[in-house]
Amino acid sequence: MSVTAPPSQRPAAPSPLPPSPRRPARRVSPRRALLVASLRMFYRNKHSIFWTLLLPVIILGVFALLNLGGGVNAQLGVVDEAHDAASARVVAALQQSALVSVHVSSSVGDEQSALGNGDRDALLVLGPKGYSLTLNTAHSRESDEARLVVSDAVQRATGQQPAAAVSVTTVNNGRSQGYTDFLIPGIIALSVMQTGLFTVLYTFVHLRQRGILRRLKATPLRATDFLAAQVGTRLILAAAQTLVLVLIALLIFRIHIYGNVGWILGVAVLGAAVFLALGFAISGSTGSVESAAPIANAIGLPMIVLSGVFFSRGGMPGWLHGITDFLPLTYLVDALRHLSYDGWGLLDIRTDLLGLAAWLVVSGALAVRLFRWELD
Amino acid sequence: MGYNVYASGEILGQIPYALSPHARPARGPYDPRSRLPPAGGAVSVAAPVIEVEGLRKAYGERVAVDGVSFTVQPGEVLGILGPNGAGKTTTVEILEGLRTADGGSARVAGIDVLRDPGAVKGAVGVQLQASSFFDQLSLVELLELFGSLFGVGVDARALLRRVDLEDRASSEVRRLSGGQQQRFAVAAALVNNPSILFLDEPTTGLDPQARRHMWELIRSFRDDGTTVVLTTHSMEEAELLCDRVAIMDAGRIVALDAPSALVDALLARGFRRPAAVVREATLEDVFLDLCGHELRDGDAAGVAAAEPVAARRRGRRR
Repeated sequence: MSVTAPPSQRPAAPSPLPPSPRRPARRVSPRRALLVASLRMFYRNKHSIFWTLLLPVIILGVFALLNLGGGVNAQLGVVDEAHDAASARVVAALQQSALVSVHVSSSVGDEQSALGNGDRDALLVLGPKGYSLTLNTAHSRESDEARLVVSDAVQRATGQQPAAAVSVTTVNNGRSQGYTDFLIPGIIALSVMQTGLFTVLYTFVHLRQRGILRRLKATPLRATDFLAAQVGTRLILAAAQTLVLVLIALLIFRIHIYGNVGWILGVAVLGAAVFLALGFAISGSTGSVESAAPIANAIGLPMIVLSGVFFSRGGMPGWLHGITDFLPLTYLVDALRHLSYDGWGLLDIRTDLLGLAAWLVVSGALAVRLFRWELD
Repeated sequence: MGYNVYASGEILGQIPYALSPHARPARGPYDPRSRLPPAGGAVSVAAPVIEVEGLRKAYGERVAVDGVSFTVQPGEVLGILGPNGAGKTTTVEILEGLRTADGGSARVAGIDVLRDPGAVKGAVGVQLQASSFFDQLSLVELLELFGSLFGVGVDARALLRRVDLEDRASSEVRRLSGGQQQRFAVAAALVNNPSILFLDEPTTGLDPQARRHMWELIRSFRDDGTTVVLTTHSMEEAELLCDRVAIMDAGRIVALDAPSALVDALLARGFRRPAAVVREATLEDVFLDLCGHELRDGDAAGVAAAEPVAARRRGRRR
């Protein structure tokens, strides 16, 4: 080595790096800086946005299509009080129609209450002095269908103009029980679980595998601040995702939501917190991205099947029903469905909320305890 | 060429530069007297900024660090050399507050690392092996984020200028070349304006040009008076940059002295290189002569690249 340099003196005392000419005074807390950075990263990851929002909509669309494929099947209550030949011919004509399910009853009161609770879309009362049809405008598709079928049947059976023969009144009981309406709370819960469990597990293991967390570990950032920022980011995303999903369901799929949309959002965010905590707890001991996907599926898929996302758990054997009562996704699906579909209040779903809160406490504690910046 | 500034591995004075083969910028006429140890006993010994005593760390049965002791003076560049698995990275990561130790003591910048690993993280700058940065954030955004993690505001562009990356300010890290990524990692180590830098294999995997660029950068830290602890596999790097090197093997420091002192000691023990190996130039000299010293990691696909570099370079001495 022949690189001999002329001698020079070292600085007598160490001086810090020369001060930067311009030092912005703006200081942001670590949590907030990470939150903003995470949202920015998510926003820039267009694929991620697209699939996060699109997947639930696709699932909703597929299941809605499956349902709509059978055509409209209106539930029509019929009470024959005239008991004459004409009224018998009307009932017979109605029963031949494939477009309505005819429920013949002798009690106007029973049928009116069925109309009231949403079991009937329309009620036809064949009185001796005239026919009256009551339509439930809350089920506009079905009641429209029923009106057309009734008009056709009356005209064929009596030869009279339906407009003259049938007096039409409407009620709006505000209740709809279509499958799509049943489905949407399940889809919201599903997408919340997706955002919480699956994406957290994948993203977090990815960040750790690439040593990005390792670099963060070498800063004064505390693990709880990191987790808080991550959770905060994803709660915001979950709320936005739920809102978009609700809007699409309302505007495109024309579903009915009876509960308070604000509460639905709130419960979705609570559910997201539960699944985020679960995701972080599981990712603490997951070494690679390759093993994250099977683990997420092993936990997520059985819950999707067992928690009543797509179908009611009513058909389950009693012991299975009893076990699945305690799944976090069951609590979330039930809470959202009671709010959205049954129109219950917050107090009515307190059992589900308590269940979610218990899961949040347990999995949150596990997440903090099992958190690791890097695997040794 | 015996110089006794160092005795038994401990630094006593602060004039080793003229003795080591550092290609430092000239600051005055050549004065052979500065090669001699300082006269008299007027050398003031500054308090060490890093003091390690009997440091131990085991992973299960495997002892990674086995009783390591050393000190680092303010402004000193200490190299830790050793084969893979010698315990270099573990030692450095304990000092950075990233790992716990099983025994011994360590003080960095006056902080007891074993007792308060969190505090040391805020006081030093680190460049880690096998680590990376978020995608989807620009270099400027990343540096500002890291500033926030340290609770300081940063002038990100000034930091990027410092490591010669200002023209890539709005790029993502994954779009950078290997050398640029390492320089960015160094920039990120500077956000809290540390007086101690830990660089863990900063040039491993870099091409010769990028490696030399990194050396220039590390030299500039030394000129600023920053204390640097760096690990390396490269003897050339240790010889060029380090005031002292600690050679580690199997978790222990087997030698600790100035590079030239270690060489002298070896020769004093009767070591002679086989004559056939001694050459005036190395293959790397050939490579650099043919390909030039310029970095290739920028947007170098310009006109200059079209012309064969060897043709431009040939005949010019470095």
